[in-house]
Amino acid sequence: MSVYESIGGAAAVDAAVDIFYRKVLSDDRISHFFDDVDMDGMRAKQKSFLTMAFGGPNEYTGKDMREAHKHMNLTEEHFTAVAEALVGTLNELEVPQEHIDEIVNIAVSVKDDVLNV
Amino acid sequence: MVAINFTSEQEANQQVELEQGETVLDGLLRAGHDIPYGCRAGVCQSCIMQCSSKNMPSQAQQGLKPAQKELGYFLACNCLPSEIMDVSTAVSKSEKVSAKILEKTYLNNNVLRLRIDKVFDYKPGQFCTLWKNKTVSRCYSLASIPQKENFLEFHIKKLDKGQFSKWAHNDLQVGDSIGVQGPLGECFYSYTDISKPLFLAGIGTGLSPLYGVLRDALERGHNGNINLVLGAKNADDFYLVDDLLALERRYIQLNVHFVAQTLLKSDDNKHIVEADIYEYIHQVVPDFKNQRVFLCGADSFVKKMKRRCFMAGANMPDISADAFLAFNQ
Repeated sequence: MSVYESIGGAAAVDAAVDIFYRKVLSDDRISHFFDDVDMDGMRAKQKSFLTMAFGGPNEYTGKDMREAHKHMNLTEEHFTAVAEALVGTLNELEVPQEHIDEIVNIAVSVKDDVLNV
Repeated sequence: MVAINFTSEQEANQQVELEQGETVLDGLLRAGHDIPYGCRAGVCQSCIMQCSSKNMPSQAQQGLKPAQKELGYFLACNCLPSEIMDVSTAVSKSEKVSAKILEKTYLNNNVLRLRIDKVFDYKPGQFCTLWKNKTVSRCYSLASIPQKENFLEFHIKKLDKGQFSKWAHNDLQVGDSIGVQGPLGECFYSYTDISKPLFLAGIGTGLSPLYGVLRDALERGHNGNINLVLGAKNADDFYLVDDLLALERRYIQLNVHFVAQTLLKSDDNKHIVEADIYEYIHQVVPDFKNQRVFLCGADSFVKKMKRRCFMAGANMPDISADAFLAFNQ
């Protein structure tokens, strides 16, 4: 069974997305990136991201990740902030540590693409 | 073996037999229909469709908003029907129909109440397109409630260069006919909202959808607490004040707040407060957790409030917003 399935699939993504988005918007290191975006559209993107990070079915490619974050001049600090929001969300939902480790590994695997390095 | 009746813009009522364990999406694709799709896992919502029969598996609506559920939207990739379903590609475009003007009443110096024939059914808070002629049209929200009122009601603010609004105010006569198209939109009250605390906020004619939503909720026996906050520049920009105060007296669960940017010394309106609307709302509702939220009015107000409500604890699917685009002509 994948992590995605063991934590509850699409329902887990639904439970996580608002908590995650709220954490991202509360973090001064990254919140300004979200000032002028359409919140419903961004929430849909966050759901796709969480589905990917949970090891669920997705169509993310490294190229998409690069393209989407290309002109944002992202640094290590920004990536860390998002990773912390992700872990904080999973802790809040009482996801077991072994699953959190696996999810963090998936998220870290796209880091170079996101930072465009 | 289960079949589905499929209607698209090109073809009506095509029957497709589904194989054992086959989703609506897979069946339609196999039958050669052109259906947009993405993740095939109920996440991306690319394959959203509408079902007109009431027998859809609840799994197929996982992750959709209550309003979308009520309109029969579902995700084809997550839908394993157990009995025959009538489905169509969302969102079906409606025809333009002609409706007679029944009443024109001024609600204040620049807001006109237009009542026209009820030419279709709708949910209060949805919006319609009204046509002045073949080329000029504008969208207006429905303030009426279909269970009690046999007309469609719109609140039309006169804009200096408003091609539609000036015509509606000056030239349109009772008895004339007008082109109307709709209804559209997901800013309406749902059966799942009945006991949630309700928060409605609007600026100017943002009241029109809220007036529909509020009265719909009350008619349907909403028993949670309700706050309606209305904002305007000055005291005389408000309208339907007496009607709202009467509702407030009649329903103990309802609190109506009028918030003006500036009050004049001559304003003797004891029910209007002078305040910054964002600050005021924060005082009235510091915590938005579990609140069902409706926001209507200027785009800037709606955007800012949406974020503030979300950050104060409201979940995104519980926030319905209707932002009016700034048409100054």
